[in-house]
Amino acid sequence: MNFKDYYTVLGIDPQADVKAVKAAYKKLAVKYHPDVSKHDDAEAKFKEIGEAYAILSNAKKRAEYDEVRQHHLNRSQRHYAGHAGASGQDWGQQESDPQSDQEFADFFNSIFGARHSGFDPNQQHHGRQPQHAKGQDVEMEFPMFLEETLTDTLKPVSFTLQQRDARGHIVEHPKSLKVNIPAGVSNGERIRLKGQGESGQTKADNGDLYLKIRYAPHPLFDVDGRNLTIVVPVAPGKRY
Amino acid sequence: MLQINISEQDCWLSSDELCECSDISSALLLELVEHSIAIPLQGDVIEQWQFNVENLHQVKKATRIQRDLALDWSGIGLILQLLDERDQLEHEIHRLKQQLSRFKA
Repeated sequence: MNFKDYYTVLGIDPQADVKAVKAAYKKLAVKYHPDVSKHDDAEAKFKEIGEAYAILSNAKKRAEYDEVRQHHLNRSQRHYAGHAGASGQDWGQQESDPQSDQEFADFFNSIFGARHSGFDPNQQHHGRQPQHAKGQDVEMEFPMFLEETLTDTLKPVSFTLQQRDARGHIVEHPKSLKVNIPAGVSNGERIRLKGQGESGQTKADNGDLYLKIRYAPHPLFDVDGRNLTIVVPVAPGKRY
Repeated sequence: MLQINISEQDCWLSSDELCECSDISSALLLELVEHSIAIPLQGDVIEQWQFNVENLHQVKKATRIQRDLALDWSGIGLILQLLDERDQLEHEIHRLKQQLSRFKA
């Protein structure tokens, strides 16, 4: 389990006041919000930022975290003192791979416990949800050939759902469906498959699965709304 | 393997269904329609309004942004409009690149 420096995550000084914490969070949240950002790792980054903010904006949790951080700092200093000549990497850079959500969640839960913190780092984005929350919606791009949209088409859909087991670890569940895609679906249109998303807690409903139709490039035609266009090159002065 | 047929019901949502699916009140739905975040495609009054899945997606997106960034609805409406324009421009660039590649071939 790796230590996470929430001050580094938010890019603030450990002495920063609540106002500075909030300002740093807002700035980064706007940059990495998954609904706004085009960054590849926006979702992971946003979770990281939300997690840091949830701790550092709460005086009690921040005090607890600072104790853990101080303990880690002291231990790191002892470790480096005992390894003179080792690389000069400072403890703040010892962080794990930022992609590793699970490690991050483990660290978070080990200090505050996911159930009691009011924050679940593996929840989509970082909002708070009641215990009997509906399952998360899942969205995936669904490629189709232009010709396939002319009639109803039965297409296989395979995807992986991420769910938590009894120990709170993320487990992947592969799922396969056959979906009858109605004729005339347009490029970019979303199709909703009710209840096919992630499982809800206890008796809550499952989330939905959204298929975002994406036309595969056609060798001749471009699709412009409901119209097809084709560009025909002509040479000036030549009779056709 | 489970087979799913997309019915007419899956494509359209009433105001109540939209509110239930996106976990918002009807008062908030009225506000979202006022800011053009949700746009009913049919119906004159809230009881008759019909929305498509895209509206549901926009409402969910708007509520997430509001929750996470604490912006007001007019600001969120503007963000969604700009995101939409960005998507359209990206689509246009993609289309033009595709046309260009045909000329080069």
